[in-house]
Amino acid sequence: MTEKELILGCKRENSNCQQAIFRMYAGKMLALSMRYARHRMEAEDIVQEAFIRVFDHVHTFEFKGSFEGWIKRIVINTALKTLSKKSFSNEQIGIEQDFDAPIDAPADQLMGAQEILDIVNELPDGYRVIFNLYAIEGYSHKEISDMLGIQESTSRSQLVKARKMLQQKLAKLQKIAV
Amino acid sequence: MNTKHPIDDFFHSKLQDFEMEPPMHLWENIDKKRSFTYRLRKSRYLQMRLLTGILLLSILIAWQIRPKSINLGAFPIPAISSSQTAVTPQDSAEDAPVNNQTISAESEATTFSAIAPVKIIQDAVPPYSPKNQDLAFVAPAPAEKAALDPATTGTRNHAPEPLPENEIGALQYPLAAIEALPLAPIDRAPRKWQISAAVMAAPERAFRQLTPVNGASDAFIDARQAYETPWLSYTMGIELQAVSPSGLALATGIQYNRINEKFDYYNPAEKRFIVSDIKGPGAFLVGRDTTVISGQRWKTSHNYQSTLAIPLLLGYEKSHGKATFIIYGGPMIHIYNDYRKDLQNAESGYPVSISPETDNYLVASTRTRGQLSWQIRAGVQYDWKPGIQVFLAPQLRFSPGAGTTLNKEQYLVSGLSAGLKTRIY
Repeated sequence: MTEKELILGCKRENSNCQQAIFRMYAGKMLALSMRYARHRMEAEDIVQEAFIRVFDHVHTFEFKGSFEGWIKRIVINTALKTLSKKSFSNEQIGIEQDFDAPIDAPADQLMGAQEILDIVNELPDGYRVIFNLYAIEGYSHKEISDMLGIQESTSRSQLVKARKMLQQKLAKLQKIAV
Repeated sequence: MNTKHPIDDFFHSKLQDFEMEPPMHLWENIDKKRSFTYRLRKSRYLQMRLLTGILLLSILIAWQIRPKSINLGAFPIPAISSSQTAVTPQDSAEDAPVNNQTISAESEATTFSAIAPVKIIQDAVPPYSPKNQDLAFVAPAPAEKAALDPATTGTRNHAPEPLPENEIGALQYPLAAIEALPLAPIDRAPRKWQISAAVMAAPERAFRQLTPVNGASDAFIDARQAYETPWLSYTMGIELQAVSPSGLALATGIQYNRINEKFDYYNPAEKRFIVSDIKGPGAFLVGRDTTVISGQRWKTSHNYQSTLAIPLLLGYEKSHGKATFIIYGGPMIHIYNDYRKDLQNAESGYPVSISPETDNYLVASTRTRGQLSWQIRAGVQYDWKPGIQVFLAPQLRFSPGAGTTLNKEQYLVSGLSAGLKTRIY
């Protein structure tokens, strides 16, 4: 069955089609939610909640964009909702010095996706969410500020700090590898 | 895509298509949580809908299996000719309940069985009490006996023959029943349509269901759920009701419905102006001081949804003495809807109105007129005074769908309708 047929099946509440859609996207969405969640169990809860919403609202999907993108957006919103209880209380306004240094080749070659994910997960919640939204998902600062209810300047400063921390962690790993 | 920075590029390339193996139980949990029984346990709205269905079904079943009352106008009297005078008690007891025919005026020889009808009467008619004198068990007085005697009346040629005293013994007749039997069966049903005017009011409680327009507006729904609470709602109205001889009824009129809610929000920039008079010697006013106090506090906005509607109801009424069972249900055409809503904006956290009169309003997807909704009520009506009845009926109504560009909202409103009704035709 094609993806479109599966989606139409989901709209008819066909359980087999729903399960097929789940199997098709669950792996990607779990990895996505892992970038936002504090631990694996929280990530699984996010995926579970997100897929319930996907199947509840699949009748509103009108095939205007990619279905994967639509699911991804629901997963991100669910993750943000889960994290919203923990506010960005330590936010600071102002942009610090940015680092444009390129990534050293060994780190790029030696590290797998899981290791990279672990590094991202070591970031504080606020840094991690903004870095994910901006660098991985591709949202603008304006969109991030709207999604999180914070100022654009806050989003920028958090991103700069996140990059700085990530670069320090990569450098540390680089030294160990060498 | 914002992947200009090398760090961003590096992490983006590594994590963009990264996948993890989902655990086996995840799908089972999703399937379970989407099941109807699970949602029924969690959703108060679903519970209300189910309870409504059960209530209506119960009323319907109770109505169908209700004990049938004895219609005195069609009292079961076996028609026994004079040639069948030798009726044993057993025979009479078997015949009596199945014979509902009215005694014909033409059958001259028709008479009463001395045993079977009396047995039925004793079962069916309540014992004597001062409040129930019409149905009192009394032995026929001589004058009444004379009235029943065909020889004296000349018209009641089928009236019972007086029984010997030793056979009557303790057996006694309900006079009202006997009087009514052959000649004037009681017809309690009205022969023409009755038209009545009713005025009513109902305090109500609204149950709300918010549905996001798409998956991205969940945060907005959550914010609304967190900060909005229902408040007392009500319905007022006048109706014209037409009831047919068979009990079928039609009702229309006009109703004003109002659903009230409270919305609590945190105002981070509250300003209060205090104006104080400056008085000089002799208490003359020489000036005014204005003090502005800035602060933060929780505020409450009172939201409402009010509608004017024309009900087009189909109903049924069934009388039992002074009480009447009533049930009405059907659509309501809304001729005017008015909304006042301040809502929590999920993105900014600040309240935003759906009123276009404000600067930064949230567009409402609600039509102002022409919407349909549904109503049902079932209850009891009581003859309070001649020509005036009071009624009390639990009612349910679905208000018209409303919403904003981010969500749809549906209200199920339950209430207790009370009112007065007077016959005008």
